[in-house]
Amino acid sequence: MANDTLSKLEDAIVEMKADETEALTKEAMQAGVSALDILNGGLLTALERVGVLFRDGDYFLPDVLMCVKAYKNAYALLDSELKKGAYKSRGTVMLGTVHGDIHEIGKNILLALLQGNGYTVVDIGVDVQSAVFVEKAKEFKPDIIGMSALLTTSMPAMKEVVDLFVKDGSRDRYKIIVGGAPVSHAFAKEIGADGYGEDAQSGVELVGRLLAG
Amino acid sequence: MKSGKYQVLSESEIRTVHEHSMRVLAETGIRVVVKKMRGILRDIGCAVDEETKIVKFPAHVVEEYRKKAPREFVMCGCDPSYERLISPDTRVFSGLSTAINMYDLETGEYRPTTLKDVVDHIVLIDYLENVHTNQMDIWPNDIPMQTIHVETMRQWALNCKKPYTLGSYGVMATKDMMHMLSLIMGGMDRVKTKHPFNAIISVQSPLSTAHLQIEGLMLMAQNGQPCIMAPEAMAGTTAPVTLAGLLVQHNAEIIAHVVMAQAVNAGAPVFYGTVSTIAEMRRGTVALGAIETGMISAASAQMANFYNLPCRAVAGCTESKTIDVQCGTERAQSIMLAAMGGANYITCVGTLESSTAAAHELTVIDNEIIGMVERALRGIEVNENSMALDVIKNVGPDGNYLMQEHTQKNFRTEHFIPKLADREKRDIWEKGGKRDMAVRAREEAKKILAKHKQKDIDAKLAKELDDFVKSVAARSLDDFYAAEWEA
Ligand code: B12
Repeated sequence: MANDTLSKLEDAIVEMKADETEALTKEAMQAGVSALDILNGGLLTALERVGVLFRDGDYFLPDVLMCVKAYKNAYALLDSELKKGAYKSRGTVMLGTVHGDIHEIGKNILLALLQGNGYTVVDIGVDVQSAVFVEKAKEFKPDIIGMSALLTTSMPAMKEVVDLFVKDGSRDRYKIIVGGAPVSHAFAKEIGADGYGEDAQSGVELVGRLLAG
Repeated sequence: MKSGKYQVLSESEIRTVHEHSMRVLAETGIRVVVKKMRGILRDIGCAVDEETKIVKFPAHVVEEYRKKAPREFVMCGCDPSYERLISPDTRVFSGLSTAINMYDLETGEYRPTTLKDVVDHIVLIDYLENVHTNQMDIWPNDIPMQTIHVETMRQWALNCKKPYTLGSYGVMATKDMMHMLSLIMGGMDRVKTKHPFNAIISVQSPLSTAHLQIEGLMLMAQNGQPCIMAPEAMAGTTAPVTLAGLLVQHNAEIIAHVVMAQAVNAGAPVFYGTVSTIAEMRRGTVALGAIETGMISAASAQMANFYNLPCRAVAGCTESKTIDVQCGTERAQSIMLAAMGGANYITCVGTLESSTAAAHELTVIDNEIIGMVERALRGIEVNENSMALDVIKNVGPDGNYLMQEHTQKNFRTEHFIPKLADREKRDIWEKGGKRDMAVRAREEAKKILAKHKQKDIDAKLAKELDDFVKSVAARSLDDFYAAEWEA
């Protein structure tokens, strides 16, 4: 019975039924399934299936984002329970577009997908002064800092941010990743970043790899 | 001769899109991120919320101000005798800014762009007969960022007779651009009635503005110089996924920018611009080569016509990373649709990889595509000479037309004669080394570049330009930021 509810919940997320996931989650909780089991046995399994559908080209970005919405409706009910127990969020990622650059769509897509994959995400906006990255990192204590740049003229600001973390002595506390149309693996390496993602999906995978150590 | 116009909207649909856009402007409004501009808009009757920076445009204000924009104006080159009328009834073709990587002419590999690439591109445009103007189509990576606007303008003055365009990079840079223009043309008086220089004003879709761009708009309008109002809305990410929804939104954005320019200086020349496209729905990235881009450009031309404004549309882009079939079909199809749709200033030549890379051979190929498109749009002329009744009688059954004077007199205008397309027999093509169109275009580009000589400009002017570029180079980036106006 409880297993049946969990598999229905999983299907509802995969099938983008955002208005059903709340009821199904409640049903499972009433049947005595723990929040952690619902998360592991329904929610995360659903997101894995969504990931496969996306990779195989069956699902497109809007489909994934609707699945994420369905997932979030369920997750919201579990959040407080999970925080009481041994469960830790998968990690916190802080995202911003660097100084001199107002392109934000790429950053926002990455943000949505990270949230959908169970990460806590802090968005510090666009045209973010380099020093502000360091300030905000102190405030939010992210595991990962992601920077986006779409202009060749704003790319140097990425290096500036990395250098500021080095100067601040806090570089080792965070993993720093970069992306955006003109950015490349080689550039990421050159400025001393920990990783580069060519698109939002590889950004999510990159975050997963970096957090796994 | 029936016109070959490609129309995607009916008269009544144009009107409905317009009415819906007016509701967007009046009910939702646009975020205007420069305080001075909001002040001007308040003075002309818009509702301004200083907290949110949202400006709502009542329909009567929009109607009054958009009508102040001129229907047509003349663009000229650095050589003022090079003139082109810009109007809803004319058509010019341009380069397309601003590639950051170069598909190298020698190696066919990608590498960062340099100032030399910019100069070579300007030279090609100067020679290519179907390309009438250029912009900073290539972004030089090897000179200091704060000098790019002035250095590229200097290279334009030294190497090209046609007009030029730059993006708008805020107060100080736009003032620099006006100063360079004045030096090059011999005073701002010289650019009052003819305009050798445009600025692209990027619109921040959805329904917002970009700080540097609004500053640029204000300064350009103040100086009476043309602004291209150009949203890059993408259906599915920064605009509704439906094309009609995108049109309603981007039309509202463009008209708001037109109103802003007219509020600053009534009569300032403007383009109804578009770089709007669809988003690639797997990655959310831009799909400039999509067939829908051509449809959006055509619809935008119809909307611009409705407002009596010239339309600038993007075309010729491709997502392809190499010179292959995709690259060719996407560029040809979008140039065709934009032109057949009635766009008046088509920015299209020389790019690939979603406009982030440039290739000189593609600039040359696009020149040929434009030639074909122009031929198609010229239509079939039907008159006594072209129907050739006498010649048909004369040649009669089983004759041939090659020896006829009528043939010799008319073939050059009736047929488009390609320079690059191959129409040889296979054995001749094989003997010639089996060269494809890209190889031939590469050779053509090299030939043009080899014969080019920099213009002989007045030594005094050369020094003035040089001194000014040096003074700009001496500034720090902070100087640029300090000059900006309050948000
Ligand atoms: C839309 C757009 C705009 C919009 C931005 C709207 C907005 N709200 O963001 C507007 C119109 C405002 C704009 C303005 C300008 N733009 Co613009 N713009 C574009 C365009 C067409 C698409 C960019 C985009 O949003 N793509 C969609 C997103 C989803 O893709 P993405 O950003 O690449 O993100 C993906 C990946 O890169 C990755 N990713 C992104 N960030 C990150 C971060 C991390 C950590 C990771 C892991 C991954 C990752 O994941 C994303 C999803 O797959 C590009 C062309 C192009 N081919 O990219 C030009 C382009 C970037 N713009 C360009 C230019 C020049 C400008 C202007 C300077 C023009 C001007 N007139 O002055 C201004 C700059 C303003 C400023 N100071 O920033 C040039 C840049 C050239 C250069 N020199 O670098 C481009 C390349 C176009 C061109 N060829 O001219 N632009």
